[in-house]
Amino acid sequence: MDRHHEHLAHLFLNGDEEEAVEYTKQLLNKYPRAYLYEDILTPAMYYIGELWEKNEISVADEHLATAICDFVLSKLDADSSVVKRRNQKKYKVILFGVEEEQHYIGLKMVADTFKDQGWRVRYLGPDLSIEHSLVQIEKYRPDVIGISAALSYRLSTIKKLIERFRHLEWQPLIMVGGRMASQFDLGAFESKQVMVVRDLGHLHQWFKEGRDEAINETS
Amino acid sequence: MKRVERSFPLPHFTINKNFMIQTHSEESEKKLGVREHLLDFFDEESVVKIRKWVTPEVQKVTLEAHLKPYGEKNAPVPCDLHVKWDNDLHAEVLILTKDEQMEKVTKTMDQLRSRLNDTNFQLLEEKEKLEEAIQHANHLSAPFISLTSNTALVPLFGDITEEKMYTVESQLLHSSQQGDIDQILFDFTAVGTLEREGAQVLKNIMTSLNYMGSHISIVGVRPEQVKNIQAMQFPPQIQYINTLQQAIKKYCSE
Repeated sequence: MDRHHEHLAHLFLNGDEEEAVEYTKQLLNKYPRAYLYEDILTPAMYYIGELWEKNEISVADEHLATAICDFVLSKLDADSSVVKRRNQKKYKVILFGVEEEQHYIGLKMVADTFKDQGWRVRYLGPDLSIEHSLVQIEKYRPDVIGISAALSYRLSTIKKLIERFRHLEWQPLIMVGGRMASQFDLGAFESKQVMVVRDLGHLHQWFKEGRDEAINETS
Repeated sequence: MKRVERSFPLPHFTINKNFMIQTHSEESEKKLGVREHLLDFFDEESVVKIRKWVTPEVQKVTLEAHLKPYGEKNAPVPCDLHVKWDNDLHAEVLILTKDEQMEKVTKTMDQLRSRLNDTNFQLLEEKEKLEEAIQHANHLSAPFISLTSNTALVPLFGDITEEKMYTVESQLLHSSQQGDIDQILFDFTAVGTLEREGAQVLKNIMTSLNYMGSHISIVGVRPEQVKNIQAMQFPPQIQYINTLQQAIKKYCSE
């Protein structure tokens, strides 16, 4: 089996940003970007979590690795060919991490995925207060609002946000994602206007096929 | 020397094998409150780790974990857990929260990152504004002007780029269908450079107009543009007229 993610994880942990960029570029020659995000970068970050669990690395190491991963993502984004405006879709999306939430790597990959699909993207970063997000949302009027959270403590915030966004007059689709969505069953949140996105694969599926049958409007 | 027991001002516990707390220090009560089960203090993500490492098989261990948010905190609090088993049944556990310094550095990093993101965001907004302005300018760079009931003039402005030509394409095709227009003069007088991709699209537009029943004339080509036009092989039905004056004389003097 390929050990790309472990190799990359160690580059992140060593703070070797040049080598990490170089390595991901090589991977991009071989694999599509979606594969890189889903099957290499994400597992690399999970692997780093496992190392912490094994008591082999510290929180400080994790922070460093996150910063390097962030850098690599920014670099990939800057180097990738922008979808030409003529081919851009008219769809708009705003993405942010809920208040107090510091995890954002996954969200950044989501932003890139939307861009890749020709969407116009506003990525507002993590830890955004509800007021700030509302100002941006009112101004930009996105078709999709993506909110992300990793920890279960954010559940009540997510609820509040959904409640608030549900009443926007143009009725955007609200996507809830982040590790929380992959670890807990958030089915209770789902509705015509709210969609829980488990992971990048799920998002890709949505681009291709729309909402899955689980949301049956008649039921 | 007398050994001092548990008088240090730190959260300290003795636990049994099942993580049930047997004793706790005053400091732990003040800081974290009272719980029966040691694991109840910890963030769910840390529980697996603690279960794995805090067992009599590992006589002595130091590990990092996260406490559930307590007091004023609203995020899990990183700490070091020092564990020593006195025997197979009981262990001493000392909890040291991480140095505030590190938290400070982390916070500063977060702030810097968020600043960068804001700047990035502003740049993006400016970029989009600029793109819209360009788009707008593109729209205006090929107006369709009816000169007589069947002759129209399309003065082209600026460089002929792919983007620009795609922008004006549909409005030109539509305008040509209004009224009895069957003669369209493309005026090149105000044209800068003729980019290859742009010229290709322009050529397609002219061909389309031709199929839709209009005669096309290209007016006012400058010497430096001739080579490009020749290389592009515009449709042979196109007429070339030297100046706009001549063209107007020819088509508008009825």
